[in-house]
Amino acid sequence: MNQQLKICLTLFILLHLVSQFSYAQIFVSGQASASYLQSGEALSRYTVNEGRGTFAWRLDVFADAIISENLKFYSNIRITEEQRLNIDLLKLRVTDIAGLGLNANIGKIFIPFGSLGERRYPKQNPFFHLPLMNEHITTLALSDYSLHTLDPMQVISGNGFRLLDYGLYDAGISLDGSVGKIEYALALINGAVSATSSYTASGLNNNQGFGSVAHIAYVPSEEFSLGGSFGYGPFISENNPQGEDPNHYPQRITGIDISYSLGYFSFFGEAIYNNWMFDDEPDLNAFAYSAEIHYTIIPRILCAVRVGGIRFNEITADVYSQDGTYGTYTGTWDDIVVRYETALQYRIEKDALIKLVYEIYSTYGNFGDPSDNLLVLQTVFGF
Amino acid sequence: MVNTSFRITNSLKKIVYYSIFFCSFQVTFSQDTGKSSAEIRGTITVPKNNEVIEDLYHKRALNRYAKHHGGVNKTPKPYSLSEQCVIYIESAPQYSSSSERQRRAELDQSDLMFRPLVLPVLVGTTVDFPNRDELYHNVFSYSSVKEFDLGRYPKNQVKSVTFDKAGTVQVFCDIHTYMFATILVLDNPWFTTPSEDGSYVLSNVPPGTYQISVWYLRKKVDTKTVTVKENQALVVNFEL
Repeated sequence: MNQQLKICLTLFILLHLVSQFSYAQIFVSGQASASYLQSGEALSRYTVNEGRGTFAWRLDVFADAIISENLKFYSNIRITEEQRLNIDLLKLRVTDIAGLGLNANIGKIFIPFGSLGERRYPKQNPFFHLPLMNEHITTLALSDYSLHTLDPMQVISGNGFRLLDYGLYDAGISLDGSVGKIEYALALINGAVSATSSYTASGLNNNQGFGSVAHIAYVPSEEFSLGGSFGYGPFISENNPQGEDPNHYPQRITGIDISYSLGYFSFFGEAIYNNWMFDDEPDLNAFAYSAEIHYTIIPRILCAVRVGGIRFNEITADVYSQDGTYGTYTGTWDDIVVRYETALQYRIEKDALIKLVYEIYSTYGNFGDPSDNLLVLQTVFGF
Repeated sequence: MVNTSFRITNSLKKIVYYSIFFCSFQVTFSQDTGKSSAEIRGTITVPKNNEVIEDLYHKRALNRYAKHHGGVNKTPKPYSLSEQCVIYIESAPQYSSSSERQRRAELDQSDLMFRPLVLPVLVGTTVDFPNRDELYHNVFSYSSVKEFDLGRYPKNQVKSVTFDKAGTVQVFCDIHTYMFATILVLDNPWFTTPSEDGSYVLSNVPPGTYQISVWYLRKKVDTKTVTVKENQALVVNFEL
């Protein structure tokens, strides 16, 4: 709570300071969503509240300001039913530096990896979740480099790295711009894209090495974009129990993204290949993909489908059994998962909508395919 | 004699004065009533500061996921008075639109703004929505008068909607949520937009009692009840 108060106070002071500039005018807007979730009852990382019907909510508040013609301020606070208050975004943006069309961002910034863009917000996302590659919690433990592959309680604990950490925000600096039909963005961030850890108490990740991220896209026309992303940075904490140097444990991630939209149809596709590299151990690799289609059937009604999956490489590891003996395990280091999502969205008004989402999880792993499908009814209001 | 000549002189003066007065009155009268039916004219006085323009400009510039296309960072041309103000007669029972030919109007999308901000059209008019920006737009409205969604379309494409019911239509862009315009679908042709000096004229208005309204920026700001007689030039001013 003290931490949240500090964050609120800091933001309030910052907004107050920003508003003191003569040109500044603060625009406050936001999105509020309330959801009812009903999942299967099986033991799974995707089960919600052990299968009991659950109410959830989320509030995003945006406070943006123009300080001068070329200097803008952006912020985004997110609060959820878990009473967590996160500053996702808190940045200054300098536009058109030296008349070159180059823009710079500094602060807690949006990481330029992939093409998630505004689809991270409930109003722009017809589904309930982000793509699986942003949300799947692997068995690679946070702030550590131990695996929990063979321990079901750890697998479902939700205590592991994501490939791309949720909303993709981190402290850092980035540059973006375009040259002809090429759009580019480069960023230096705190650690790796898998470890931005929006949900740590401090709101920042706990590894302190520099990470670099780049995204470049070919945009030949308005309806089509083809992009590539690259990220590299340490993923373990400096305070890891083994006392290892984080720079010897980097994450290297590459991705491609494609989008096409015209008329009532939109398509977004993305694929990534991820390596978590270890000093003395084999790499842990993962390949993830996501493809989604949105289609506006008639005014107000939109349907969407998405398929996303993650595959993991095989490893051979020494394991310690409960009977006190050591053995060898050979297999994937995490469960292969495929998620199918369907969504039907009705726009009540311009800034109010309701959606029904059904998610089917297919897990191929050491513990079978648990019954963990999810039904979500969500309402979203923009203000 | 003196008195007589004085009286004559005075009488002549009166005749001259009356003649001048009568002639001038006649000139004025004939200017105002030279048309076959009446007209309503006047001046709209608007506040100096235009908050909506600022609002649009700022919000337009605040694009947190900005694409880097040219045109996004251009300063948009402010709306002229004729693009943001409409004077219209609320309803005219004498008027039947059935004889009117098919009409067309245009609601432009340029510099990430709709132009004009308020567009008056007669019932039955087809409105074109050309996209002149280097970006996608997705024009839509959920107004009860006309519900439509034109989907995403790129620069230089035009999509159209016919408005066959009178009322107010609020128009948005699904991609650029701050883009906004109002289409006033009116059941009679007695509407106009003011000149830059605020003056306006509604011509050929049939005699009757009407409610004359002013739409400014995003809402109707004033309504006056007026009675106009045949061949009358009625002056109705609005101070907003």
